[in-house]
Amino acid sequence: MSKTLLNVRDLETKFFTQDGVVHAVNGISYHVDEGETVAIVGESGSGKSVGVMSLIRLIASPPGKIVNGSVVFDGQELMDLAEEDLRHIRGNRIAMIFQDPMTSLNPVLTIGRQITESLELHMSMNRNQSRERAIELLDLVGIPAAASRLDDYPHQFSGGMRQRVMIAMGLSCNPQLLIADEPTTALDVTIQAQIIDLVDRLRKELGMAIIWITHDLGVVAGMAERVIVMYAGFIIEAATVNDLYAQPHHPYTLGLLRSIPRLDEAHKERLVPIDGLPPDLLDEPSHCPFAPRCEFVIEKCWQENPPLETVADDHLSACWRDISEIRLELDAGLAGGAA
Amino acid sequence: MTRYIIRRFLQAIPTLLGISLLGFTLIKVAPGDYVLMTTFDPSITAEARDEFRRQLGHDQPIPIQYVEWLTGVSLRGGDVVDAMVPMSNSCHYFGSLGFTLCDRGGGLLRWDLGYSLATKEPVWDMLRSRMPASFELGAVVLVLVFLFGVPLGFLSALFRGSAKDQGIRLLSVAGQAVPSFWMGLICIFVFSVLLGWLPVGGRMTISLDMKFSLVDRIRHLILPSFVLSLAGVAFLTKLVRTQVLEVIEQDYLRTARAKGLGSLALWTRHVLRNAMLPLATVLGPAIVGVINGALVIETIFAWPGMGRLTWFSALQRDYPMIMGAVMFYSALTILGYLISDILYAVIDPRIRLQ
Repeated sequence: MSKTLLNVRDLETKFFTQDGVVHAVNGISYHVDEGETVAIVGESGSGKSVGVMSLIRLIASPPGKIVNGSVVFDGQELMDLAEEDLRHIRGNRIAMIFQDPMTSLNPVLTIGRQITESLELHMSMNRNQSRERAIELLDLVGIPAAASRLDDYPHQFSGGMRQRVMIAMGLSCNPQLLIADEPTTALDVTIQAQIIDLVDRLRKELGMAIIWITHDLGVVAGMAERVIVMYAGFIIEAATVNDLYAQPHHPYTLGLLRSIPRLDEAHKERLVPIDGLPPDLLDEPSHCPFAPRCEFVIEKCWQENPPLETVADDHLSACWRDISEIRLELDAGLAGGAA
Repeated sequence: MTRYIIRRFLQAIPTLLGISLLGFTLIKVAPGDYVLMTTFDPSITAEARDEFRRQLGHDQPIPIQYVEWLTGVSLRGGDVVDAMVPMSNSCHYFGSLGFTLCDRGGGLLRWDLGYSLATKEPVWDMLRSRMPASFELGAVVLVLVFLFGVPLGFLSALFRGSAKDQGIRLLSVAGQAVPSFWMGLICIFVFSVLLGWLPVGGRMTISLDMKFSLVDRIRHLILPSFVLSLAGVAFLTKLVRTQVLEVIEQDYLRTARAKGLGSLALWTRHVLRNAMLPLATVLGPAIVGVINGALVIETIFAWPGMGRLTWFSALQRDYPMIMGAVMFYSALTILGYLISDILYAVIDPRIRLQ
């Protein structure tokens, strides 16, 4: 049993805008063990990014505000830390890589400078030491002729290479936790695979934990141990990868899985999209947020938001319906459709 | 880079020629002329004035006068010797065509701006004698503009939405809206006439020994430089504010924060450099604008600079002098933009001049 590295309890982040309060993250709880990869999946606007950025308080404030919750990292409560102390954790023990490598690097600083600045800050290295370490890091993430590219600017790199630079920056101070916020979304599929392999290899070599945010369940299957599914700012299901794919409990997860094409399926079925749109986060959530789009909705779903409850070993789901009933309905529906 | 600069200089030649043609035409078609402006004596007859004009060549069509100013070569119908030609043997009569070409000497193409009609001094010497005063005022104004504009813009962005920000924005709108000649007169009235703190105008106190006194010079500089820098400070404040607000929204700033950088490194290394990029584009034109814009202020404050010289030359219709000033300002403007472009390429690694 490995040690818990990160423990998040009831994290709640809201944005106070001119149009009203945006309920971005509505009391989510999860944990990440040392050296483990946890994937957070969900559609755009489901609160994945805001949720992880809240961990190290990177939310722009105003308008954003973490209104409630506790984040314990390696035995330390981050929500009570002074900004100054939190800075020593950011980029040092918890590093982040972002979605769009084209815009996430400063265009007027050399990539060498952008890597060395965190080394000088957190590792107290001098200029020469940090440059040497930067070359090592670029080498590690597979940038050819690293030493000669240190003084190049971001625009001289391709998208995939820039994401490698971002990863090198993230890894520079040997973080215990790497948060990857959709790092492959902006990249070509082949480059995506390379980046995923790279991060997975580095995790094994360096022994860090990873929170990998994505909306691509296919990406998750290959690398994560556990998956957290988010919808409208709530965690609606959390399970080990195998459990989640084999026995999803929440109608939303089920819907997600039915909407991805599979190569190993013998008979080719039509992909089933989930009808409707994610809810407007300006509304105070009072019922199950998925109810308006759910095929299996019952009266109770409109009255009360289901809590996240244990449905099997290491498997949590937030739904009033019993999964076996849903499966029966689904089979009947499919049979009817085929007839 | 060198090739780029050479090309820009070559491109400047047709631009300057175009400006000279336009400027010359505009001055010539403006009502009144030099002869009328300088011969108010009622005993001077119309014939005498015409004779004066003929001698100056001002009776000729505008294109011929322009070519004269440009090349120093004059064209007259018939077998006549131009009154302004220094030596009679520099004229040639084309009998079959019925006109005379005379070489008066000088002309812009021979790098000669000619002589002022009013003072008979070389135009270039007159411009040069006024440059120190103009550059002195211009440099002080430029320093003031950047000294106040940049920090005010930063403050405004840093405290966006607050009372401080609103106050700064209000002042900057006012600074741009208030006409400088009005502000200048009000300042003279309040600080010089009512309070008597500062001199009404001029560059120094006129005394018998004309000894240089720094305090005296500074006292004379305060009002004109304040009034002249007002619009620039207002403009720069708004520009910097917008830029900073744009930069802090960028993804790379989030990356920088995620690295745990302190606010000092964040603002100086990441925000400042990116927000300063567009300042490079305004620096060149700003230098020029300060010197050009001084025309009105120099006149109000009796500042003995090029602006005031240009102003009085224009009133007198001293054509060579006006054209000299126009050409000098134009060349300065072109140079200013070139400096901006080069500066931009130096600060922003994404831009390569070619």
